[in-house]
Formats: sequence, C-alpha cells, structure tokens
Amino acid sequence: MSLTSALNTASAGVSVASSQTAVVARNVANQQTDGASRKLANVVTINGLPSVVSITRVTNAAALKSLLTANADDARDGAVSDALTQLQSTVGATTVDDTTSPTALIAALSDALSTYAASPESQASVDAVQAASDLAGALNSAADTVQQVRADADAAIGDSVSTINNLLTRFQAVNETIVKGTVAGADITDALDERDSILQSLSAEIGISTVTRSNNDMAIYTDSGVTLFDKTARSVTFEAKTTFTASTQGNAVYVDGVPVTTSGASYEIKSGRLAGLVEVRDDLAVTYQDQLDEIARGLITAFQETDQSGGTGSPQAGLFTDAGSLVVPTSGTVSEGLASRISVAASVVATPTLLRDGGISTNGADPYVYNPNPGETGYTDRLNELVSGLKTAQAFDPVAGAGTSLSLADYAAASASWLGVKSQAASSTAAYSATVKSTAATALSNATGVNIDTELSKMLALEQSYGAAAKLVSAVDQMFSDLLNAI
Amino acid sequence: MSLYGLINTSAAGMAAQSTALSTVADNIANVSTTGYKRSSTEFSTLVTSSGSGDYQSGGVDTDVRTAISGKSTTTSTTSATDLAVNGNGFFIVSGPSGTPVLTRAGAFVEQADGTLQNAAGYTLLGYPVGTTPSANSYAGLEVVNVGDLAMKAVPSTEGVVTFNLPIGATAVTDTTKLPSNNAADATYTQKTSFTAYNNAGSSVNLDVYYTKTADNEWEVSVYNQADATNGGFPYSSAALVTETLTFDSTTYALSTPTSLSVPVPNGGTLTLDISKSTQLDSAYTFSADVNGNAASAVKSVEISSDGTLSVVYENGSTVAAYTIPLATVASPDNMTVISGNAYLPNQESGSVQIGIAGTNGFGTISDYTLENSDVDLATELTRMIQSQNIYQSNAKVFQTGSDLLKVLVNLNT
Repeated sequence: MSLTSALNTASAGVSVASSQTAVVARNVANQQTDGASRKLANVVTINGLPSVVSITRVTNAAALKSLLTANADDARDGAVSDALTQLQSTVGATTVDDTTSPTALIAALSDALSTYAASPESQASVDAVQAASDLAGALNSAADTVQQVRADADAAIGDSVSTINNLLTRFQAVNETIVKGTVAGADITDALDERDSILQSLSAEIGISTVTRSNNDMAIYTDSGVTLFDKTARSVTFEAKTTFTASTQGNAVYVDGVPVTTSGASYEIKSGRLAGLVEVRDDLAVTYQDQLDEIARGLITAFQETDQSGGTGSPQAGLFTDAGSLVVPTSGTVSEGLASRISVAASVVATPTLLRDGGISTNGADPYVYNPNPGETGYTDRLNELVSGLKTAQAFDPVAGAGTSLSLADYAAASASWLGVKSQAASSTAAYSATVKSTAATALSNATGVNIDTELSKMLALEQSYGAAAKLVSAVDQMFSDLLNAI
Repeated sequence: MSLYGLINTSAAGMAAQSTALSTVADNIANVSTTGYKRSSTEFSTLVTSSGSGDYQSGGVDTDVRTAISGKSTTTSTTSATDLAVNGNGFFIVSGPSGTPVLTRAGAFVEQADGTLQNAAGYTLLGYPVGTTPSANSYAGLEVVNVGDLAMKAVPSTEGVVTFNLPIGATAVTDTTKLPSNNAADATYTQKTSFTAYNNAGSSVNLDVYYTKTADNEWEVSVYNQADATNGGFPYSSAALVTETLTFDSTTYALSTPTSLSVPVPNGGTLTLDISKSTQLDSAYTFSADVNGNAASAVKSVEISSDGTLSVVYENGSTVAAYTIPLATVASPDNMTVISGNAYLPNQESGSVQIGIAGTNGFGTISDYTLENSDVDLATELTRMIQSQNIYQSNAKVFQTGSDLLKVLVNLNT
C-alpha cells in the first residue's frame, strides 16, 4: 500500500459518508410525508474501496398487504353504512315523538278511524282522510328517498370506476419507471413509494391482490382474481343510469370484460367502495323498497271493498289505490314500485264520509256501499272493521324479508327494525373496519416509516466517519508536504 | 589511463541517473493516468577489465522496466462503459492502423458511430454473441458497435402461470355452453387475462377461461382478447388452445397437463408452466409471469463481470450483444509499450492468449470502474531525492576527475 492509495481510500470514505448523509437528509425531510418509506444507502467494498452501490427502502410486504385489505373493507363498510344512515331518515327518529315513519302514520290512521267511529262529526272524517293522505305521502317520499339512494350509489359507482381507471393509468407509468429503473440499477425507491400509495388508493375503490414479478414488475388482480393490470391496464367500464325507479336495474361494472359486480358469481368482488355501493344499489335499497311496496300493497288490501250485494264482484281498492286504479294487487307478492304510486282515492277526498259508508271505489254507488242507510251518522261497523283490518294478520312476500304473516302495523314496525338492525350492524362493522385500517396503517408506518431518533443517531455516526476520513486526507497531505519540503 | 575512466564512469553514472529521473518524471506526470503502469530503472555494472592490481573503472548499464503486470487500485465512476480488469488480462483494442493491441485503460466512451473508444483513441474489440473465440489469435474479433443494436422485439416464448381454482364452484354441465364452443351464451367459472408479445412486439392480451366441468376436472380455454365481441363471447376465431385440467383427488394438485402451449397470434409458441396450480377450497387466485417485450429504443449498455455486453432497452429488457474477451501473454512485462497505455506483444513476451473473463486465470471485468495509475507519488519523490543525490555525487566525481586532469595538463607550465 502507498500514500496515493491511502489518499484514494480516504477520499472514497469521504464520498461514501456524504452519499449516506444525503440519504439521511432525505429521510429526515420526508419524515412527515405520507407514504414515504425509510431509505437506506447500501455500502459495499469494491476492490478495497467503499462504495454506495444502491439505495433501497425499508418495506414490509405483509403490513402493506394487510393495509390494502383493511382499506378495501373499510371503504366497503363505510359506503354501506352511509347509505343505510340515509335510508334511516325514512323511518324517522326512533324516539317516541316520531310522527313521520310509516309505523307512526299507520298508528295515527288507526287512531283517526277510531276517533271517527266514536265521534261522528264531519271534522273527524276529514282528519281520518288526512291521516290516510299523510301515510300515502310518507310512503311516496320514502320510496323516492330509496331511489335517490340508489341513484346516488350508481353515480358514485361511476365516479369510482373513473378513479380506478385514472389510478391504473398512473400505475402503468410508475410501474414502467420501476421496471426500467430496476434493470438499469437506478434509485427507484421514490417510485416504489408512489406505487404503494397508488395501490392504497386503488384498494379503497376495489379489493385487490398483487403479484410482484421479475424486475419489480407488478400485476394487480381484483380480490376475485380478474386481471386489473398485467403489463398494461385493463379497462374498467360502467354505464351509469340517470334515473332510478323501483324496476330499474343498475348496470354491472366490467373489468377486463368480466362483470365483477354480478351477485353470487365467482368473479364478484368482495371489498372496496365499489362492492359496498353495489350492495346498496342492488341489494339493501332494493329489499327496503320491496318492504315499502309490501306496506303499500298491505294498505290497499286492508282497505279494499268487497261486493256487499252478495254478488260476485271482485274486491276493489278502497281508501288507498294504486295511482287511482281500482284493481287490488295480488296478495303476498311484491308489487314493484307500489309505494311510490300509492295514493288516497279521489272520491274519498271529495266526500270524506264515504270512509264510513263504503263505496269509495264506486263513489258512493252500490254494490260496494257498506252502510245500509248511507248518510246515517251512527253507523260505525265499517270503521271498526277497517281498524281491526289494520290489526289482522295478512300474507307478505318472503322476498321482502320483513316477515310473512303479520298485521300491517307490525309489518311496518318489522321493516323499520330490519332497517335499524342493518344500519346498526353496518355502522358498527364500519367502525371496526376503520379501526383495523388505522391499526394496519400504523403498523405499516412503524415498520417502514422514518424514525427521527434513528436518523439522528445515524447522522452522528456519519459525521464521525466523515471527520475521520477527512482527517486522513489532511494527514496524507501533511506527509506529502513534508516530502516536498525535503527536496 | 584510469583518470579518463573515472570521468567516463561518472558520466555513465550521471546518464544512468538521468534515465532514472526521466522515469520518475514520466511516473509523476502519469500519476492520474487511467491504467498507467509505473516504469522503473534497474542498474547493472559494466566491468571493462578484470586484471589483478590494475583497476579499470567500468560503468553502469541501465534497463528501464515497465510493471505491466502490476496491480493497481480502482476508482468507481458513473459510466457503465468505464471498465476495469480485476485480475490478469488486457482489453483487446484496435489502434488507428487497425492492429489489435492490448490495454488496461478502460475509459471507453460511446462515439457518434456507436463504437467504444478509450481516452487514447483505441477502439474496443469483442466477439458478437454466438461467435466461438479463437484462443490464440485475433480471428473473429470485431469492433464493438452499440449503435448497430436497433430496436428489437422479443416474442413471448415461456412463462409460469400459477392459479388456484375454487373447489366449491358449480360445474357447468351443459356442454354446449362451455367456453371452448365459443357460443354467445358461454358460461364459465372464472376469467382472467394476461399479456404476451408477438413477433412485432405488440402486446397481445390473452383471455383465459376456467370452467369446472366435473369434480376435479376443469376446462381451460385461451382466446385472443382482440377477437372478442364487446369484451366477451363470441370470439371471431376459435380458441387458441383448450385443455382439460385434471386434479388429483387426494392432494387436489394439478395432475395433467403440466404445461400449456399457446400459439400467440403472429407470435411464437408460448409454453406456460402450470404445474404449481391447485384446486383448493379457497378463493380463485391467478398470477402470470411471461417473458417477451415490446420493441423499444436502446437506453444503455450493461457489461457483466464475464464481459457480456448487453443492451438495455427502454422498457427494461436486456439482450446480450457482444462478449468482450481478455487477452494476456506469457510475459506481460516484456511487451512493447506504445503510446496510450497500450502494449504490443512481441517475441520476448510470447504470443497472445485470448479468453473469457473469469475463466482460466483471466480476471473479471468490472463496469463503472477504472483502474488507477499504479504510481505512488511518495515513492517517486523519494526516488527523485535519491537520484538527485547520486547524480550530484557523480557530478562531483566528474569534477574531481576533471580538476585532476587540469592539474596534470598544467604540470609542464
């Protein structure tokens, strides 16, 4: 060894220490940056000299994977919970002074009919008809709310799909940078950080699984195995609908030509905001709509008028009608969209006493008139029959999921409680997922993030080694000047 | 007359030291010349008479040696074409006249014409990939030209595909609806796609359909996605390949077949290794790692330790283009030194031996590295002081001899 090589070694030491210091500086500067991982300068000895060969980052694939899963679950549960909270507004507050829910309005109608039976003045008849109108109106607006929730979910699915496509385009660019950089041996740590953060955003929209291949190339599949990204981004397509009625069926989201939101299919995605929105649009809101339709159908059935002449006339819709139609819908089967069409018969609005006398369907003409002496105020049989009709069990469609043989009042209560239970469960699931997500995020950040204490102690060590190398340079310099002075 | 001998001897001594000082000057001047090998001066006595009692001073013979085989330290650089030999061996370069010469100065830079030239203007020689080198002649060597390596596409030929098919899936029993029949109402259990490359370097997305047909039996069909109607069935041309996958009824691992041969449209035959696939009661998973790449521009070159020069394309793929051999001779220090840190083998050094880096005693090639000059400044400075002293002593002897002669000449006056 010689003085010259000592000088070379010392200057290599200086340059390695400065490269490492640059990395430490970068770590410290990015301490608060979201998604920035800790960078490490890898020093190896090449031909006897230290050299920074690469910059790598601290990663934890397992922590990232669990964060991606937690993220997707959280987004799904959040979407479901939000929509259910919105639907909850249709049953009003759960407190005693609730006067807007179908349950409360059915009770109010029943009370108004009883009052009318007990005090036959004309105001009571008007009040009873008003209670019926309130109930029909409440069902109409609840049905509107449900469709609005579905329309909102559908629009949100559209937004989510365009977000996914944007993220995949960005992902493709970053992924290419990473593959090229890996081959060329460049510093790709920032690109890897960016790719991870894109994955986190993507997992919030749609549940994903990833596979890392040679040269750090990454492929993304949905959690049901459909290819989202493999060298090129696959197209994610969706056609939003502008208006929603009870009979509207939302379109499926297609990934790579496969409908990933087809309920029950093996390629159905299980998590992510998309999964939650589709569950709301195609399942929860539809079931609740069915229940509202069943309440409406139950009302028409309970207030139907039968042929009083002993003839064979089929029962006709009475106080409540399907948008004025006199046809009574088939018992025990959901009549789609009925809740938004139900209204109080025009004849009873004009003549409230028809409520007592019957013949609403025929506007006071036989054979559907119940009162043997129409106009006689003391007649209460029909009113009592109507009140008890509300309390009599009738058949409901099992599809709606709120019971099959219940009184109308009980069915409305069952529907409200179905919604309450769903909403309660969704919000507690959402809270749980949010906790899991934040725990996973903390775990990832602890594993890969920058710890300022570590960096500062590293900096002190670097300062020492830089100083020592610089000292060597000056010692060699001193030796050379001694030699030159000797000449 | 020994007085004249004295003067001659001291003159020879001065000449010898001035040669030594010349080598010191050369060495100091080349302290930072890449691949420079230190010269040193060796002295030997020259005796003119060996009679007894009569001493006739002789002289000193000088021999300049260059430590061509000496090792030096290396420095890291930022250029991939800065090469250093780590161990024995020399790069074969072509001089301006086209004669191959040897050098260890590996600071090669890509020229406008695509050749690699070092600082002294020598062009690097190598074997195109596939050429069998000749061990003892320069036959087959060509000028390495990275500019000739235009865009290249590599069609996909092999890949590894691993999947798990969910055992609980419902079987499709209506054979007319199987994806292999390419009917519009085809029913499948799972669909995935992966990307392969054809001969033109275009990416071809291939749709893969897995359909459970019976217990432990699945049908797999691969279609060209470009033929699809609105992203699905029917495809305008039949399946590229259809196979029946049979799973072991005990381990639920794939028993037959273990590979799939997919004729890529306008491309080669892609052989997919699917032997690791399973059918377990778990979610469907799929992963594909397929080779091949799209055509892309040359980004850089990369030289591995065995001298393989690979071209790195924009998309990250690498293709080997040249092998850079190393050469050595039996006695490297005896080679003729020519300008530009280059050496010519001659009779005394022995004939040239060519080999691949890392084999048969040849050293390895390091990229991003340059070999330093092996001159140590401190040694040269001390050598200079030493030579100066010896020169001055010789001059003193000369002066003394000259004074004595003057005394002799003046005796008769």
